Amino acid sequence: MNLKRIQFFLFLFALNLFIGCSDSDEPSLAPVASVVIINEGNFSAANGSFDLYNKTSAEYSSNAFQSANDFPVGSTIQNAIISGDFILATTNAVDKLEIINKETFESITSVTTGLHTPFGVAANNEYAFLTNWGTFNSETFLYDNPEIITINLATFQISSTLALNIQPQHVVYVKDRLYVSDIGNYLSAGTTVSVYQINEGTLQPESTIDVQPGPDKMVIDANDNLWVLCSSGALVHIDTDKNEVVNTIQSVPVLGFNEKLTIDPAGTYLFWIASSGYPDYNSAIYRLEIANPSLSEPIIEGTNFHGLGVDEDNIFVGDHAAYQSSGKVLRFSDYDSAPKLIETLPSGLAPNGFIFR
Amino acid sequence: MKKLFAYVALMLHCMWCFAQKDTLYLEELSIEDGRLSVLDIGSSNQHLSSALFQNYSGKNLSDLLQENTGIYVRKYGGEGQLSSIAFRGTTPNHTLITWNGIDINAQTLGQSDLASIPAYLFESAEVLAGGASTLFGGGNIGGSINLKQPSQKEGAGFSFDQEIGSFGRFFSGVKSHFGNKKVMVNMSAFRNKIDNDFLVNYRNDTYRQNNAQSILQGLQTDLSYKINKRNTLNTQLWYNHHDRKLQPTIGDLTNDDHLLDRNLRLLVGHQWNSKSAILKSSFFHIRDFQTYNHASETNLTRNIAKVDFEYFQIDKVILSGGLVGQLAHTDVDNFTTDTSQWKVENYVLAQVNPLPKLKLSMRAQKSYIEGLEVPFVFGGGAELSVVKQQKTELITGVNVSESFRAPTLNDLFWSPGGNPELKPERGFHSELFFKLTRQEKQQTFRVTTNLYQTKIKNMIQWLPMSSASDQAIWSPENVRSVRIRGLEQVISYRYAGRLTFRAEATYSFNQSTNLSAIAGNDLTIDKQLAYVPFHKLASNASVAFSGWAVNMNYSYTSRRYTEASNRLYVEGFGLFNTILSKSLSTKSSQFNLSIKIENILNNDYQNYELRATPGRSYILKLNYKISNIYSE
Repeated sequence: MNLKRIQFFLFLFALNLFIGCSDSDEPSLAPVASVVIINEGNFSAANGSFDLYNKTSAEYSSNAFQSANDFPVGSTIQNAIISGDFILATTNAVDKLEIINKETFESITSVTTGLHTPFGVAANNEYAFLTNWGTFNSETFLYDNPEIITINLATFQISSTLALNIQPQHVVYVKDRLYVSDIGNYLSAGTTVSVYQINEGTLQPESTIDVQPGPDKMVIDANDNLWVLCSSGALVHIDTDKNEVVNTIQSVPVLGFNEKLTIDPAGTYLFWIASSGYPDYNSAIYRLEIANPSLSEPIIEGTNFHGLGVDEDNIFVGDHAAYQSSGKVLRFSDYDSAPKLIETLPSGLAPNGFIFR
Repeated sequence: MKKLFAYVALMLHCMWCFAQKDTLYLEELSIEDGRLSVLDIGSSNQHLSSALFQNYSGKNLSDLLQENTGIYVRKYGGEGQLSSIAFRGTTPNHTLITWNGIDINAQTLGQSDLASIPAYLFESAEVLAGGASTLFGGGNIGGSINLKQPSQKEGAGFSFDQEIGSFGRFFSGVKSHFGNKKVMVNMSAFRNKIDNDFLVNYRNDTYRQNNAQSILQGLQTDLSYKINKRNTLNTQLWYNHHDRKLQPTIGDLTNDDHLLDRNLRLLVGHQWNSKSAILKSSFFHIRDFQTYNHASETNLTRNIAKVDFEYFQIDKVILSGGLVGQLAHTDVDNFTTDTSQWKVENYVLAQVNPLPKLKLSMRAQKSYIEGLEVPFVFGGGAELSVVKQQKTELITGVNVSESFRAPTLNDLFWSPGGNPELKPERGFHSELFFKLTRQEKQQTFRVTTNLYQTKIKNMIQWLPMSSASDQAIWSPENVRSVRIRGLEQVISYRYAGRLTFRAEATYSFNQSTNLSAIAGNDLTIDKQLAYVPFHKLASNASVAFSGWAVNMNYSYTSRRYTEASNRLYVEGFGLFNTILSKSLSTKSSQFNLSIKIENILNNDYQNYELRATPGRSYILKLNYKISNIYSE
């Protein structure tokens, strides 16, 4: 072999190296975007994220929190809401409430100490209220010491902790009261919604309302009344003046756990997801008109539906891609008549909800 | 040959340009034509030398492979943290680690944690690719790594190793050997502690990494007794104790996850040999114990009987066959009941050299595993010496083989979700290689190129099985098909005069494509498997002169997708390490002092998504060795 051949091999080799060198395409931040996609992420990898989408310009940017802060938001993002200038997000890896500037996505601070598997979040002008499942017990596979934690949104300090004797799921704030769905656990489902009065950052139990097994997601309608979707397959309408059940719709198709119930901004239609589960993950979106609450056929059918959001024009559906990869988002028009698929957007891991700025 | 030097320098320079901020070094990884080559005629066989193992004596197999081979090691943070292997574009379940020919992967999880395999206890290792890489077992769809213990010698010797270094590193090890014509004994023991309290950037500030300490301890003994000319008895013991905290994701300051592993591996064997035949009979007792967070326990006991027979006529024919029986018993908290599983495996293998320039091999293997249908697997290869001159040799070879991987015990018995209906995964391999060697008086130049394709069918994947009435339960299914196409290239150059110079670079390219849809809206078809980099480079250069030696090592791993639709990824990273050492020798003893700097350029990188890694770190190492106590 002569030197020319050696030269040729070295050239081949150097070529290999250059093939290995490719630049990344960093997404740019588009803080004006109206739609925020919440990607819950994978617990062990702490890779939850927020993606942004501008419906007008069709600009899309992924991982807005990481881009704005240069550190990750964590996993799993259980729930996120807008409260004043903030986005409040509960995460479980690590357990925290992340308080985020709604416009820039910069982290204002996070509250970690004292939280134990925070899940649901609600807020008024002064306080954020977090349901906490408690500490996971690896022997019983249940959560011990569930609680509701109140955080002062001026000081970002915990102002009170209320111990519960049942695992809570979601929390909503309406008419100066807090409504908490007492979901229980897989051995023993809860059957109540608890009502609490708020007194300078501390909670006083006021009453409990009997609903159906597994009360989960709750929304407030145009009349400030409460709708509770129970994972046993019931939709319960509660009058928040009397704290009484007005109507219970039975045999409602649901997901079975971690229900996704939402309402349009006008408060006139309820929307939720039902799934057939493995192996087909046949999913459907159901709609119920509050003025005429009778169950009808699904308005959207598909697979792998995981997150749901409705703004003034569109229905957004998050697709978890069988948890095998990043998911995607389906955007539909005509939420109040016959929805049509307008476009499909990318998403992060397990898009489980949307907020609209 | 000055010109050649210039080109090697140019090659190094190219790498410098490519990495922009890093450079490289290379340790000789010679291709061995040892006895095991019978396994893999026409396939790749990389020898990880004893010099390399010495350089990594205070470390484990994780860094050794990542920094010196085309294999990608997925490491969950600092040293000693979970490290899994992606060999030739496959997943961590597809590589076997073997000790005395026995699979030592955790039978529950189906993989080995490379961080629990200390380099100190081994002299060298062989990296064998594809279906041709083992005779027993299966599980080698990617390949296998065969650990080699220190060879036994007559006389008596002793060595002592001590390391201290950044981030709470403290390593101590002793080795001794004693031997005469009848009895030979090797013993080694070590303790390796690292705190991993390196700085982590988070929330525009830094903190010291929490909960990441690893303490690995182990000992090994190897005792042989030569009954007579033909018969030898041997017993070996390897005990490993790995106590560590599991490094949490960046920003998680409260996590206190903990993992304790204990492994006992015992071998009692007999070997009979004549001029043209070897018969080896061995009995193994293997116990693996693991506890997670001081609560969830995994206990596995295996008793294995193994017989191998080999008949050979040097350079003409090798015929071999073997039989192994294994009984595994589990006591795992996450299995509903204690479970046993038996398996019996056998193989036959033939290698013939019909012409001086041609070698052919054929292999057939059949396993019987309780509750599973395991197919016959076949393989064959050919090697032809195309050019053979006084100084230059070009060999080309082909290999076609099959392999399988049985479902792991977790796949079968995990509660909830284990699926006893699973079938074994199948692998189909084809490979073409070229090896060019040029030898002059003081110089050796070698280029090896392997092109290969592997297809994996019935690949097992855990999927969520939620239904409207229960929580999300995940269960494994034979759903994936994957096609891997790859290239491996090794270039090495060695000059040995008064000064020794060595340079080597190993590059691998792997395109691992998922071919199957699992559910509707599957976004993963035709996408690269997660955590399989397209490009991996490992390179070394070293100069030794008059007891002084300098090594430089550079490795680069390209972007890894963190999920199967290839939207999300962690950036590629390059690492530059160097070692400066000085040896002083007397007639029978040697004293070596070295300093190693790792991650010289203080790169902030992630190997595994959101696990922090150490910046620049220093290791000071002292080795004292008495080669033969009696001659002092």
